[in-house]
Amino acid sequence: MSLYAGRLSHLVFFAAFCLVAYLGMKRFQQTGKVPIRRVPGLDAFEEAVGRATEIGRPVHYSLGRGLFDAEHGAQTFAGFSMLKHTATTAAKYGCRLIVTNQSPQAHPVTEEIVRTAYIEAGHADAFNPDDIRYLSETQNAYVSGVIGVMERDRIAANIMIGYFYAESMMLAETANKVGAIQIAGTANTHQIPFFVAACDYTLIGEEIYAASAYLERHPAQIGSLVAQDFGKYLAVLFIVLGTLLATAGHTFMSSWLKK
Amino acid sequence: MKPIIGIPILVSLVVGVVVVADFFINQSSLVTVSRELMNWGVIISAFATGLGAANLLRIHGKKAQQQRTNWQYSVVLLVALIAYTILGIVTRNTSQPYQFVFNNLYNPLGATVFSFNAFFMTSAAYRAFRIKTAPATVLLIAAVLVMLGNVGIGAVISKHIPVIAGWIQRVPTTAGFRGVTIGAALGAMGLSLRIILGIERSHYGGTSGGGNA
Repeated sequence: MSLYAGRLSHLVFFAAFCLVAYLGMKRFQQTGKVPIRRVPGLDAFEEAVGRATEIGRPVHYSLGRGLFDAEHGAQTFAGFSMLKHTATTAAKYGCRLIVTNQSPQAHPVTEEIVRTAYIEAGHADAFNPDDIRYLSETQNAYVSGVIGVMERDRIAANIMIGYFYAESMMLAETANKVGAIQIAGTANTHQIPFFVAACDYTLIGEEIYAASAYLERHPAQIGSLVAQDFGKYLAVLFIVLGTLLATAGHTFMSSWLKK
Repeated sequence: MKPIIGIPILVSLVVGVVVVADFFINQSSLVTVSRELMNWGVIISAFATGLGAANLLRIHGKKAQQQRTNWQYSVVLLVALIAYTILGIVTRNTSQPYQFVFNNLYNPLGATVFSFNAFFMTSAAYRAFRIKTAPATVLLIAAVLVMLGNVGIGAVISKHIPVIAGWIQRVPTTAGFRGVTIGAALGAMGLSLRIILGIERSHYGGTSGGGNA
């Protein structure tokens, strides 16, 4: 039994990440305090659902592509976390929530999440399975379907968290046209600029993964946020040190990272 | 631990640990088990396609039956769904009738919807580039330079514009993208860890944030 070539540094980093997550969790349990920067997009969730409730129009939620594969799966799961929070808030306020799915794999999961949120909020009778809709796995057909939902139901809030391709702009602009407040988030760097341009609040990259930890403030989840920040500081340190060392002609850091 | 979600959490833990270990450790039995688990994932996913079709049939069938507003569109959808499925099964998806419908009906419709993007981008850019704040001003200047740098007239106005546009795309844009990518990778790692350990469990429909799983 041996390690794959080039993965020793990955393993060391992974172990350090887990250790820092554990220490962060312990510290939060002991002190109840870990400094977390504010994320306006996450603070606005309550406002978006509240506004929709006040004017009596529905909230629309999309996971984007909803893929489960290695590259995009994490973003889909981040979308599930936020859906849980959105559904809980909508159930609490008695607001209608429409979820449209592009992925048949994500569809039963979203239905279960929303159903459970309504049951937990004590409003099981308000859950309407017809509001959790699978539209199409094909991008353009999905977009047509969502545009129809937005226009017909005159949504008051549009929340899009997950992996998005070109549908990002079409959905965001249609929601803007019907006057919906918009919160969007993705880690797809090619679509972030579209969301920034078209939406009221944008969660950029890592912020979508931090959402449930940020909103629920559970010690175990806070620990992973601390580890995320630790990883970022380490990455910055490696970039600066690596640049200086490479400029000075030393390559031992890049050699070690390749081990 | 709630008994109903205890088993899925345990399955996630075992599968997650095996697949992560397979990434680091070169061991033939681990590779076999890991590949097999990933194949199971693909097979289970395939069943979901049927669930998606069932959802469409249920929602639009009910709408057509109750003759709610615009119920005629639901009938069109149901007819298209059923007829095209039968056509695919009977004649195979490489047959001429199947390909004819795909190339002459589906593709043009898809291209039409995709072309909306040009108009949506223009209206979004107009709103984003209005000079209201310092960042919006920087965005506007950068966008104008990049747009001019990518069309012939940019070089006619000044030979420096394509050079500046190239630099904006190569240096600050790439640096920003890489920063977001590093952050997103760390975020995905944190979320994956929470899922494997059963701390994050919203996708089960249960309460998330339970650290005592």
